[in-house]
Amino acid sequence: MKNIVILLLAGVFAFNSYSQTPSSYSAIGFGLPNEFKSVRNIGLSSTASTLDDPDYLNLQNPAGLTQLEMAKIEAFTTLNGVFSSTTDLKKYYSNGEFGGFSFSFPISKTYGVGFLAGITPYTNAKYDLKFQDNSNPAYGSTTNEVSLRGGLSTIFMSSSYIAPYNIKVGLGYKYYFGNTKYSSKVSFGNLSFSDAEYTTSYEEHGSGFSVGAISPDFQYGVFDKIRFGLTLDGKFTLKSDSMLTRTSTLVNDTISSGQGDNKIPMKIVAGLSFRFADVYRGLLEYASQDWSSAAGYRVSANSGRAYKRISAGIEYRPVKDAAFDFNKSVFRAGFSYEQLPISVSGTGINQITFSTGASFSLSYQNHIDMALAYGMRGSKETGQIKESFLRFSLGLSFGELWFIQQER
Amino acid sequence: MRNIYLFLFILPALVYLTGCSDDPASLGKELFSGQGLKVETMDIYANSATTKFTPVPLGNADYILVGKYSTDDTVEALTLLRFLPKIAGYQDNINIIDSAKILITQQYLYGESSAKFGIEASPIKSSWSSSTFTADSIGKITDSNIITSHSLDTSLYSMVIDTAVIRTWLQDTLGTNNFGLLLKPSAVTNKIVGYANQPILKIFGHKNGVAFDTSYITNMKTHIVCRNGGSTPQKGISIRNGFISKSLLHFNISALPKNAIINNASLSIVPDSRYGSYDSSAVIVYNSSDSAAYTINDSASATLLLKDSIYTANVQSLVYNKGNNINFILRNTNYYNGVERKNFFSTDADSTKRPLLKIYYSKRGN
Repeated sequence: MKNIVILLLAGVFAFNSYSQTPSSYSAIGFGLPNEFKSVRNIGLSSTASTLDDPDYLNLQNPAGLTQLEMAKIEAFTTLNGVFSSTTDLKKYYSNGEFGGFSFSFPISKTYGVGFLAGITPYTNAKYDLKFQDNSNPAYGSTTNEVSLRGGLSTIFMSSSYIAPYNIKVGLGYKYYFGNTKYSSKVSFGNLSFSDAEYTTSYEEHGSGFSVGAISPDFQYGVFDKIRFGLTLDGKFTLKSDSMLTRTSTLVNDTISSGQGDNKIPMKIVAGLSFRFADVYRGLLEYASQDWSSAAGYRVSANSGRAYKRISAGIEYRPVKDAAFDFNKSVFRAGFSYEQLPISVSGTGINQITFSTGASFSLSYQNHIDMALAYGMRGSKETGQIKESFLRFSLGLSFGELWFIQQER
Repeated sequence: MRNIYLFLFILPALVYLTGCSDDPASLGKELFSGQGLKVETMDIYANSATTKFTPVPLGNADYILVGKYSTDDTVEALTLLRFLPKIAGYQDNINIIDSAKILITQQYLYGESSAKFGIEASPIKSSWSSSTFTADSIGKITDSNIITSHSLDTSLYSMVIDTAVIRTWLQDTLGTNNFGLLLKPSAVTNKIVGYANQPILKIFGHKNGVAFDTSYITNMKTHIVCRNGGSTPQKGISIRNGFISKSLLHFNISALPKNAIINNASLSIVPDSRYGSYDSSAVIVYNSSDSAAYTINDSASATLLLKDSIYTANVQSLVYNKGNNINFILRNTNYYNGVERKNFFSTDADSTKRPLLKIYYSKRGN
């Protein structure tokens, strides 16, 4: 029965895998960076670089797989609502969004070797604009539409190892891929005029590596399990294939096509976590990726601004050790401040997110995860758009003993 | 447990179904309108215009025309008629021909009605066909006037013909020496008159003291229209019936942005009434497949219609994918009837009257 449910959920996730977060700002650069890689991660406002637990997968730091006990599968989906407003207009968008799918299994508990693979969005891009123009009486009313769909996803694999001095290290491989389509269309009320549409499509792919480390646990005063985590996503080359087409009543042809490389900068994530009062875990994290140094084929590769994030989270786990207690629930809360790699007319766009989450047990190593995040980015000043978003994420995490020889 | 699983499946589905209310709006227009399409207009004036008149057979015209009219050019219309009169048992010394006349009824006038008008007629000395004879063939026909008098009664024009010619026709029972008459305007004529399709030949005579008269309709007829300059292309834009008139207009649209999408292209030409009034009939515009030969590519066309004293047509299909040099050919539609002329202001006129190709095009905002 459980397998059937997994299949059904996977089907639902796959069906919706192309839905994206609607945001006007996703039209800049490669889209909005996705820091929400798991439901637990959302509840903690992305503070995951130091986590290394048996009951959850760490998609952020490849070193965080040393405690795996079972083969695990995680997947989640998000209902995303965005309230956009300017000084004179308001609009609400909502959609379902594929969050990610991952699975892992332990290889050697002695050496802390675990394996993780999965798929998750890397950037999100979805944007629609539609407006009327009645300024020219020669051709009457026109309807202008701008549409953006796409973003990048990653297929990743990673593995961990416990090095001497109990330093946990990990190595990951990421394959980045995605399609992005920009469409601009004008329609005329005057039927003697032909509608026109330009479409620019990008198909992109690239490979990169990531390395991570988690320090041994320390103790200081009332705090125990103090640890540091570090993740480096290496810079990589994203190859772009582009095609520009134009379409009207009399024409449907490809104007140009080409190929080129984009240099995507390195991302560094550093974190600190500690436990206190036995049941609380505090987490702090800093992330940085200098998109202003990005360069390449796609004009939008360089959004002119570095991405930076400072986040903090707290998790309440009513059992002392990491193994999930069947009868207990876990609660989380977090806060993050992000400097998005987006600027409009010289003004940078920043984002503040408050989050909370919980996990409820179904059985040992099987649980349902929920998270709620509320955030804001931009403002109504200087011609910007203020966006408030509310995300409800629902995920499942299943654990099972695999690769165990059964007695006959 | 089963119910929990069911719940877990239904909840995400409901999440998806309640989502996706993302109808586009104008929010963000100011911020991102640069990414949309811009519709712009470009006025392109013709940089050359010439007209070629090609004589054509006019045997199927509604009228036959005779006359001459001069303004800035001179147009002359001539008619060819052939009757095959027969009288049973005709003998020149027994059947006495007293008189003969040709009657034609006026139905068309080009020029001032009060202008002077006269017709002369000459026997035609060689064979001709109404389906092939054109103004270029006129050099083959010359002879003296055989009209002895003529009269006009309201719209009925009567020409008395030399009876010697009639006797020749009557004796030519096989029709091998009767090539008909050429009607041409007298020297003083300054108008062109059109006559109904069936000229009548009436022969009056007597035989053995008994008078007779018989009437005949034409066996063959046509008319031709000649103009000074012949078929040599002339500068300017002029559409005149009686010929196939082809005015070649050249536009260079290289200033149009590369890869722009043409939303609409409008050709406008302004009639020039300085040389007479113009009628409101349509003018057809084509692309030229060979501008030197004034060859028409008739795979696509547009119709220029008169509105607010300007002829305009949507020529988008004639502009798209035709390169930077657009050659239009304007052609009259009802060329075989009358000699009406439409003159249009050409490339030397001021910008309000010059032939104009107005192109509305879209280009990407960024």
